[in-house]
Amino acid sequence: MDEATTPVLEIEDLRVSFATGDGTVDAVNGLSLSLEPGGTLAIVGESGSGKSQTAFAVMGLLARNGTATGIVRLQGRDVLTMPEAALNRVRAETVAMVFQDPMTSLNPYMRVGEQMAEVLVLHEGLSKREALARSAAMLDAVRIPDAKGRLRQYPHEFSGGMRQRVMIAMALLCRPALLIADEPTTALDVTVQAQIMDLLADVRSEFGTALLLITHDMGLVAETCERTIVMYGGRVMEQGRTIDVFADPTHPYTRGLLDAVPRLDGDEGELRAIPGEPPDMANLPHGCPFTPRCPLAMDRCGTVQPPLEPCGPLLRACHAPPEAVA
Amino acid sequence: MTLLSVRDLNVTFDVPRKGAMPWTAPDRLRAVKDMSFDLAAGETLGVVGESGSGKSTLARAIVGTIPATSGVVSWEGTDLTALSPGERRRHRADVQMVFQDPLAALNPRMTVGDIIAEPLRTHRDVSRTDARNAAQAMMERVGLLPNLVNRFPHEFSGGQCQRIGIARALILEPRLLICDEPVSALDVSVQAQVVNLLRRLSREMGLAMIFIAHDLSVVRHVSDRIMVMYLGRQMEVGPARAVVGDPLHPYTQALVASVPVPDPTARRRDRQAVRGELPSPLTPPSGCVFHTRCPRARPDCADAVPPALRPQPERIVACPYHGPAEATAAE
Repeated sequence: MDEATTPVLEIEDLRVSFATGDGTVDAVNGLSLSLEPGGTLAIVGESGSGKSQTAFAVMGLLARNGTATGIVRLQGRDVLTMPEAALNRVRAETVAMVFQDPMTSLNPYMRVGEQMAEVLVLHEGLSKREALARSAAMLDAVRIPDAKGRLRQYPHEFSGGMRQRVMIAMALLCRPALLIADEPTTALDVTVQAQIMDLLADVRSEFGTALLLITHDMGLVAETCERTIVMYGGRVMEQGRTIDVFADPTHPYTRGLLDAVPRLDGDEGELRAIPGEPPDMANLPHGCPFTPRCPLAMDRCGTVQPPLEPCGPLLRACHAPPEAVA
Repeated sequence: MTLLSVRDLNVTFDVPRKGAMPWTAPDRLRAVKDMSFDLAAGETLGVVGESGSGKSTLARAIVGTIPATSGVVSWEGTDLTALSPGERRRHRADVQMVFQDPLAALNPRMTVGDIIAEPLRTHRDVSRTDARNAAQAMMERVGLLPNLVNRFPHEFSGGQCQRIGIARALILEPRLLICDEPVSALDVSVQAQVVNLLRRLSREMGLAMIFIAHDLSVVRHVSDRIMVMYLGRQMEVGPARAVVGDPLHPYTQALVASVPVPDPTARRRDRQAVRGELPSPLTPPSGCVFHTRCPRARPDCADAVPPALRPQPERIVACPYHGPAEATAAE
C-alpha cells in the first residue's frame, strides 16, 4: 500500500486494563478506529471514559501497571508488539502529542530553545545550530513573536497560551503524520482557546497533519473534527461522522450529553441533566456501563453488553431501539 | 429591594518587587477597581471574566475574607466595611459561599453530617441532635441520601461533594449565596445537575446569588443579570439575555464569539481577532484596560478611562465606541 492510502492510525479492538489494589480496572474495552492522512477525529467523553488512556496506549505511555491488547498501527506498523527502540523510531517519525497542562510537560530547568533543539538533534541528527534555526522557524510558524529571542527563555517566562504554542511547535518539529491533542485547551481562557484551536487548524492544513482530539467539550468537537467517537465507562457508545452524531444521535448517552451542555444559543432555564453519578471504574456493571443512568435501561442492559453495530450512518452500542432515542 | 450595594470598591494587593530592599515601596496590584453594582433580594447576578479578571477577589471582598482598600459594601443600608470584626460576624450568617474545588473545600477528617452542621453550631445555639437533624433535612434538600450522614468526603464523587458544600452554605438560611466557579471542576452531565439544583434552591428559598464563572454559557442559564469583568474593571452589565444575545462591549463580543458552538452545521463564526492574552495586572494598560486587545480600539482609547455609559435602560457599557457585534465584524 502506498502512503497516501494507508491510514495514519488504525486501532482494532484495543483493550487497556490496569492492575490495582481493588482488582483489575478495565479502562478501555474494545475500541476500533481508523484515521486517514490529514483527517480529524475526536474522542469525546467525561472523566473515566477511557479517552486519555486510549491516547496513552497509542503512544506507548501507559502507566507501569497498565497493559494494552489489540492492534494499534501507526502508518501500518503495529506498535503494541514493537520493541522499545523501534517504537521510539516510529514515535519520532509519525506521531506527536500535546498535553493538557503545558507547564508540566515542559522542562522548567531548560531553555525552550534547548528543549526544542534536543528533539531534532536526537531524532534527525541535526547539528545544534541547524536545530536551533529550525526551532526558531517553528516558533514563528505557531505565531510566537520574536521567536529567536524567545528560544533563550525558560518556560516560566511564557504565558499559558504561549506555552501551549511552544508545545504545538515542539510536537510539529519532526513533521509528524499524526498529532494527538489531549484536552489541549482545557487549562486556557476561552479567548486564548479560540486562538489555539485556530492555530491547530492552520498548522494542520499547512503540514497535512492528521489530528486525534481528546476532549470533553462537545463545542470543540463540533468545530474541529469530521468524525467522532463517544465513550463512556471505557466503552464506545456511538461512533460516526460528527454531523450525524450531533444531528441524529442514536445512543441515549450521546443524546443526554448533548442536552446537558449549556449553550449560548439554546433555551434559557432548566438544563436537561443526566441523573446519577459518573461510573465507578473499579465496579462497572457487567453490561452497558451507562445502565444505572440511562432513561431507556432494560433488564438485560445491566447484564449483556450491547455490541457496536451499524445503525443508519452511525455505529452504536445500545439494546434500546434507535427510535426511542429522541 | 436592594439587598447588597457595592460602591466604588477597590481591592489592592501589595506585591514585593523582585530583588527589592525591605524599604523599597512594593508594587500595587489593583485586583478590583472602582466596582459599583446593586443586587436585589432573590436576584442572581452572574460574574464572568477570564482568569485574573478579579472575579474571585470581588467575591472575597464582599464576604470580608479580603479587606477592601476603599469603597463601600452595604448590606440593607449598613456599611459592612465600617463594622468592627465582632459586629461583622453577625452578618456572616446572611452571606455564604460555595467554592470551586468541592473536595478541597471540605475537611477530610469530618463526617458529612458534622461538615454541614458546623455553621449552625458556630452561629446558632443548637443542640448536637438538632444540628444533626437539620443537617439531614438539608442533605435531602440538596439531593443526598440523609443516611450517608456519617460518611467522609472522600467517599463521595465530585458532584456529590459540591452538593455537600451547597448544603453547608445553606444550613444557616442565608439571603445571599456567593458561588465561585461552583461547577467548573465537574463533568458536563453532573454540572447540569448542580446548576439546576442551585436554580431551584434560589427560587425556593428566595435566595440572592452571585454566580462567578468563566463559562459564559453556564452563567447565562443561572443569571438574571450578567456583569463582565476584565482586569478588575467592569466592562458591561445588563440583563442576561441582552448581554449574551446582543453584547455591546467589544470584550463581551469577543467572549461570546470565542465560545465553541456544539453544532457542526453552524457556520463557523468569524471570530473577531482578540489578539494576545491578558496583560499583567501589575502593569495594566492605560486608559481602557482592554485597548491592547480590542478590535475596535482607537488611538484615544489609551488616554482616558472610559466612562460607564447607559445606552439602554438597565445596561451599563464602559466603552464610548460600543455597538452591535456586526459593526465590529464589518470594520
